[in-house]
Amino acid sequence: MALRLTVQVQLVLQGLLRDPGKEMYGLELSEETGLQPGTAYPILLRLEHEGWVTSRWEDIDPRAEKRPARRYYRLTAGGAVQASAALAGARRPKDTALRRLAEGGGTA
Amino acid sequence: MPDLETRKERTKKRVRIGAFIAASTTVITTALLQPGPQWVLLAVGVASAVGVAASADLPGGRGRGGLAEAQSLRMMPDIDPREVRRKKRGRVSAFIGSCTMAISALFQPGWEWLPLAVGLSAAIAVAASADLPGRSGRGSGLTGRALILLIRDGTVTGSRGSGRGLAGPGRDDDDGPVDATAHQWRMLAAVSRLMPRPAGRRWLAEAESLLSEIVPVRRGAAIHSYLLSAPWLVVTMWAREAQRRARLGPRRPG
Repeated sequence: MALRLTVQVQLVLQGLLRDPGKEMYGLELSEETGLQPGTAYPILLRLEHEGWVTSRWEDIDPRAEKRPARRYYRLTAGGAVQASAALAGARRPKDTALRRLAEGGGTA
Repeated sequence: MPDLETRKERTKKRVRIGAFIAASTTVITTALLQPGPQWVLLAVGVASAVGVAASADLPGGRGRGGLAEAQSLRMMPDIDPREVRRKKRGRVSAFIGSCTMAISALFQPGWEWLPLAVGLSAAIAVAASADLPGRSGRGSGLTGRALILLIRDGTVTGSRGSGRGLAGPGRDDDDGPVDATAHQWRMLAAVSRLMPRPAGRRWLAEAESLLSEIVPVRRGAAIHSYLLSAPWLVVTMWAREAQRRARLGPRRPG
């Protein structure tokens, strides 16, 4: 099934494409895009399923760090290319719509 | 397991159970029934069974599946899962024993009826609560006590005020909202069980990781968003799981 480029998906892709080599965890991405974490998660899962994104658990000792491990996401090489192409071809949402979505947290 | 639950707390719990059973027995036998040896046995059995079944926390447990759940989420790697299973088995045995006492007293059967009483108690234990037989892995109840401690205290060890996370800057001193969040967290844990096991674990672990770092004022909304997207995720994940199983084909014996 082809990936549907909703506004939320575009926001996530934009967030990841800002620095394609960088790994981002859920909260970071959520703050970057303005989406609620529960909204961003299914999108990331879909992107991962499509092979655009890879993810891994952070390798830490939760007791030493006093927090649970994070799950990091990164665009794959192919994913970055496809995401750029998809965003370029996508119908660009109006800035006001994006702002409203970011303020409201958005839903998938 | 040094900090999650101190020895003192466990002792207090045991004392509470003892008090509960003694008080219930006294009430049932003296106020409601004509005291007699079989009625005392019945009252003790019923009170013990209720005590054990009603709260898995009571007999030295730490919440239904809490530790196992926390472990499966990579939060508490050095806790022995065998210990958790052993305690669960203890709870099941206590429940079965209590019910057997109650049934034996009620019907006053001969020895030939004892297997029936034990079997009936075991059946009740299994049917009434899937928590009782020691399921490991993703935790077997809604409680997830260690996770609640994380929500409440902000650390995986449950020690208040240290470290980052929910105990960090901006944490509310008032326990009300935190309790509300803890309730929502239980809902998340329950929803995760509707998903295929690995996917549900991952979803819950990721939510836990994120919620431990998010500022308290945004936590409720974040949990709400997870709950909102859950139905769609459940369907999608099961669809993918079905696809995966179809790809693998039927299992072959051996």
